[in-house]
Amino acid sequence: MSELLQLVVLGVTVGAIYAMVGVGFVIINNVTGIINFTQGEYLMVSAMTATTLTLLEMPLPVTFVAVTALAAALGALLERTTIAVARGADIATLILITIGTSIAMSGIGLLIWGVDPRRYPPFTAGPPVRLGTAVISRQSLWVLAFVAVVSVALWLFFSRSLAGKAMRACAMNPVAARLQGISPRRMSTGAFALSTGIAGAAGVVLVPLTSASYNMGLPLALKGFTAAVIGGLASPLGAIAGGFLLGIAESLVSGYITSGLKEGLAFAVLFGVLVVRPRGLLGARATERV
Amino acid sequence: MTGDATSARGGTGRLRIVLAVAVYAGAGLLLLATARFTRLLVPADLVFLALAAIAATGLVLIMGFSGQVSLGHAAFYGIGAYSTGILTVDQRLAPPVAMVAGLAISAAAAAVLGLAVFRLRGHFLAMATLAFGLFFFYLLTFADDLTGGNTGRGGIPRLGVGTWSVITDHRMFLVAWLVLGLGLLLASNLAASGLGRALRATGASEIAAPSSGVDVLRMRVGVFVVGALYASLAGSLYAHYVTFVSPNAFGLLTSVRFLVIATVGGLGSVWGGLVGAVLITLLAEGARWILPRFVEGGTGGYELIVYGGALVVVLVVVRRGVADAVVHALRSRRAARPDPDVREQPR
Repeated sequence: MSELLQLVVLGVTVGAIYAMVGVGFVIINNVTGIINFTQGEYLMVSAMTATTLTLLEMPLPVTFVAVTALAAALGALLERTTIAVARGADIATLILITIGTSIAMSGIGLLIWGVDPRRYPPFTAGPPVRLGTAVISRQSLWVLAFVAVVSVALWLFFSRSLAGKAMRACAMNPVAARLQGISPRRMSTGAFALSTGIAGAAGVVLVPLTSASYNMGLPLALKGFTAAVIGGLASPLGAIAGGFLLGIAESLVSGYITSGLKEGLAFAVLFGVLVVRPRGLLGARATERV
Repeated sequence: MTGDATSARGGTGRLRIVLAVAVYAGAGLLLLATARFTRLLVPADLVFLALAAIAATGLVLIMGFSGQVSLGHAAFYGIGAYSTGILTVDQRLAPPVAMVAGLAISAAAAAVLGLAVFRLRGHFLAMATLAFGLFFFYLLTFADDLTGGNTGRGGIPRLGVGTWSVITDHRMFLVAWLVLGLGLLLASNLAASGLGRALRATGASEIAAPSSGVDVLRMRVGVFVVGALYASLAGSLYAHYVTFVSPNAFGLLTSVRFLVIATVGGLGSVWGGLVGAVLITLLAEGARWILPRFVEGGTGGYELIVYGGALVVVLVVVRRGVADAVVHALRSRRAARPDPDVREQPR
């Protein structure tokens, strides 16, 4: 029993990271109809930048804000210079453009930071916290707090703010949205900035847990995408739930069966959900495109 | 594909075929000359170029005909490679027999996958093929009793007839170039046939085609199987050339490479796979050749940047693909003559 609890705690932490990548896939796909495989690279760039800034002894809050802003700006810039220019091209071309961008970004990462993984100490020092029979590291608590804040903020953004409602309108009916004076172009750039900003912030929180390296982007993008698909690829909160489900499932499989099955599980789930339940595991109601 | 369709019906059809064969043979010689007289390419690059072109031609058929994206094409390349590799080593089968077995396994896998995913549309279909490719890669590493896991399988025999064995890169290039030529011939015949027209109709309109009595699902699964056979054959040739298979040659990046080759080359012409393979090989090798002159130390990062960056630029600028652009340029020169295929294909 205590083993189960511990495995779930581990899975929740990993799942939180998947959730933060997955949520970006959903926001961008909703507004623009594009699967953005660059998503994981923003996390890599911001995580690596954060390691450099930490070495320069910049205070953590400043690093966090600066790196998040950098990721959001980079996302908006790349959207303007690639996706917006190729608008109207077919799906294969758009997906390949994001994959090409992703390859180039990992190359830049390799060039700047080299092959060795980097990390910095947890946000707060101290022994792991006891949670009944299980223990959880302090950085994991930071990650969970971060995901909780982002989830609430996203919910408020999409349900209360004008910009959030405009993005939802774009997702529901681009033509009608346009007639109301919403610019799909600006919404597309905004969706990229929002998603990549979230990925960037997640990168800063992630580093003390897993360390960062130039090739961390693509695996994270694939897991985040799986999380988004589990959630139906339509609702940000669905993607977050999908991330936790995937993280916990992976943790249980590697704990109770064998860790070798973990990778296969994610891809089998991805294939199974796409083929059998393309609207996601969480039921049609939870996956309305918002 | 439209250009070939016209030629098959035109009075000058035979002349055009002779011309195409001559151009094809000339292109092969030109590549050999490039490898002989410049340092840009080595003979081994030519072999990999031809193998990639064979696999990508299959992808051009799938994507050009039915408008469906496959991000898991490397899985069929891998099925071909591992099938012949394992069967020739463990069962002592002759390479041609093992290749046919590999083709049969690939066809079965493609048929099952096709039936499962072709109910999906757009993104979901592309992503299901992606998941299939990722899962196949995982199986290669996990089922290590059969596949040798991450270390792979070695000792695969080379091809040969009697005492003539494919021991040099040049011989292997000849074999691969011949197979590619036959593959292109088959593809252009397919494009010009009534079947090809029905297939293009399914890509052009999902509503009009079934209304005209085309069984869309059967057509799509059929062309998906044919495309997978190309990849499988290329994979088998790879296994007998390298004499060693390991999972890394058959992962996501290989699927992406095939997709890049097909898309850059162009999906509207059977030549797309070949054109794309030449361009992408020249791009990658050119970067590897030029970069050390400008930068010190490791060039891995620059190679990724040049490859990824060039990919983005080509896709943003030449959306239809290079072979398509050339075909259109040639056609507009004889625009005065009405071309029946243009009207049939409103895209």
